[in-house]
Amino acid sequence: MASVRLDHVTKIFPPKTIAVNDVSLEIKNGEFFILLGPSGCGKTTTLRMIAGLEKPTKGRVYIDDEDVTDLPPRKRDVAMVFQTYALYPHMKVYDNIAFPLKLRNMPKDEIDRKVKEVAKLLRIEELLDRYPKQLSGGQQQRVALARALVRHPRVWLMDEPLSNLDALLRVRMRAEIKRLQKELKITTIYVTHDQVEAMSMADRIAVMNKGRVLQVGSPREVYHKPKTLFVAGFIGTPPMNFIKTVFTIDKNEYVLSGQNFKIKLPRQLGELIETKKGLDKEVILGIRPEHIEVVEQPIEKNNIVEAEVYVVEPLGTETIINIKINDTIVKVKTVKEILLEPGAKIKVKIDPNKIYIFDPTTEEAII
Amino acid sequence: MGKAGFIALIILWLFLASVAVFFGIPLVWLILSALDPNASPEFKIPSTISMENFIRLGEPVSGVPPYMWIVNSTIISTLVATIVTIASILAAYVLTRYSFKGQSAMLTAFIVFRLIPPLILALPIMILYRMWGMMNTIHGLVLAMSALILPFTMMIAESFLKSIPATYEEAAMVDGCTRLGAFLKITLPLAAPGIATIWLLAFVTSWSQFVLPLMIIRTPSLMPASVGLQFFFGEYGRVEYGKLSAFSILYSLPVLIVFLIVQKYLKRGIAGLVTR
Repeated sequence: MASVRLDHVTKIFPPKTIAVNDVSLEIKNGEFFILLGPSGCGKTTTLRMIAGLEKPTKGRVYIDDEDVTDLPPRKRDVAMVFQTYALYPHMKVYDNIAFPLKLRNMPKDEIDRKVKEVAKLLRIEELLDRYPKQLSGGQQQRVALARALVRHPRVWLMDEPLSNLDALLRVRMRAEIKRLQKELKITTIYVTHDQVEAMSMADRIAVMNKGRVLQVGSPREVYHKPKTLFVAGFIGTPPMNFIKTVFTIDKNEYVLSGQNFKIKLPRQLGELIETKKGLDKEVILGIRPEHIEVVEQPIEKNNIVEAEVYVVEPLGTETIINIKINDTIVKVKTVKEILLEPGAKIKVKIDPNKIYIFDPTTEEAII
Repeated sequence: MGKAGFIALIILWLFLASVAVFFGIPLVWLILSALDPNASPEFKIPSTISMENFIRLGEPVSGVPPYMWIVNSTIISTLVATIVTIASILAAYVLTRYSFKGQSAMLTAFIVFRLIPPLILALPIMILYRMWGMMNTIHGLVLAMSALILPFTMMIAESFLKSIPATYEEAAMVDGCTRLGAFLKITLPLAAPGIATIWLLAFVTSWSQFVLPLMIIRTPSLMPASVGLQFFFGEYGRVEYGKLSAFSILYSLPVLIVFLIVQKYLKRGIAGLVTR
């Protein structure tokens, strides 16, 4: 168990690809920490720098306040689960798991005891005598986890360990890895591009894009209080909708005005935006699909937007309705059973208490 | 089957049979002559079959028993193959696991070197060897042949190592290996078929080299079999056909055996070379 700290870490791959750009993070002892972001955002490079497989161009890496920046991987006492599992093909499962222990010159009977113990924990006891290629994807995954766990590392690093599994198995292993982590209380740094995985497993998430960390927080925080347009759009299924509007005053009330709709804002909210951004400015309205409601007979005129049905995606318990507001496609999530044909005109209500406002130039959240 | 098809089949059979005869007869001839104590340069079924020709290879020809040349060839080819294999694997490791300036230029250079005929290099090598006193030495020959074979084997090694993901080594390094340890414990065992292929290819290539040994080695007792062969053509046009045939069979046997063992790996190695 350990804490991990990255201090202004930058990684530049020659000639000038900036993979990781001035990243500072603190991962607490025993925490399940997830690096989340689209492919190419630098999350795997960040993980590899913690493992010691890449050397930072600038900045330092600390494990338990010890500067490990210049230490090779074997001296860092970390274990890693690779996306491809990287099980040694010429060794049986037993030898794969025993490999890190043999390198530490552990006595044979102790190795045997530890391998069997971890095999039992991961329920792979009957696989010990097989070669990796004789295992299914899920079994290989378990062996990879076992190899990483067997020597009780200070930090457990995982690089998209579930991405090669089928959907069903992925959901099961998600729960299992989380259970293991909580049971063993190993500081874990986990890389994924799957925001559902991140939301369901993490204690804290760092959302990354283009080599930078945009936001660090609990799953609830990054979901409910996204700091940037990117974070808001990346987290949540389906993602948040964005509509271009102008923030202005109409008949003595603060409104967000679109091409053919107006959304009245509560006075307090309006004043906040006015002080932060100013009047008559373009802003981006963000609204999650579950906060848009299809209304058949509107009672009031406010906050009602006219739209055209674009396509309907029934998902069983819920339905995603894609609607067109002017030229913007907006997703609406509803649990109501609504029969709609593409092209139909409908009215939707946007709840002004659930909206987010972003600055179109800085892409940062105004509220 | 129609009449036309039947005729086509016969023509095909005739063609295949003539090819078989064309390549087969010399081989049969060679074997028959080797077993005939009274062999002469004509195709005939021996009246008595004996191993006498093989036994007589122990008697000196030009002061050296011909078996010695096979032994020399074995020593030379084993050394060349071993040197070339180690150098190829190490060079390929650097080329596949690191990136550095001029890397692709270096690979291109290797391909170009491979295309240079050995004969062009022979003269400069001779001049240098005279200066360095390496003429007429086994180590001189081994070095020159290794250098000649290396570009080819190195490219095979490169394609083989490229097919082994670096992730295995990284996993081993996180598990507690040094970089060298990861290479020795993980990559090397995984590359075993490739290493075998390279070793045997280098062995066969050096076994059949003629020009370089002819130019570098002068003393009959140091000659490899490919050069020693010439002494069966004696003075005044006298040729000992029986012994020559027996020696030729002995000379081609190791290559044949080696080829049978590696043809499976060879296909894989060459295929890797083509798809790179």
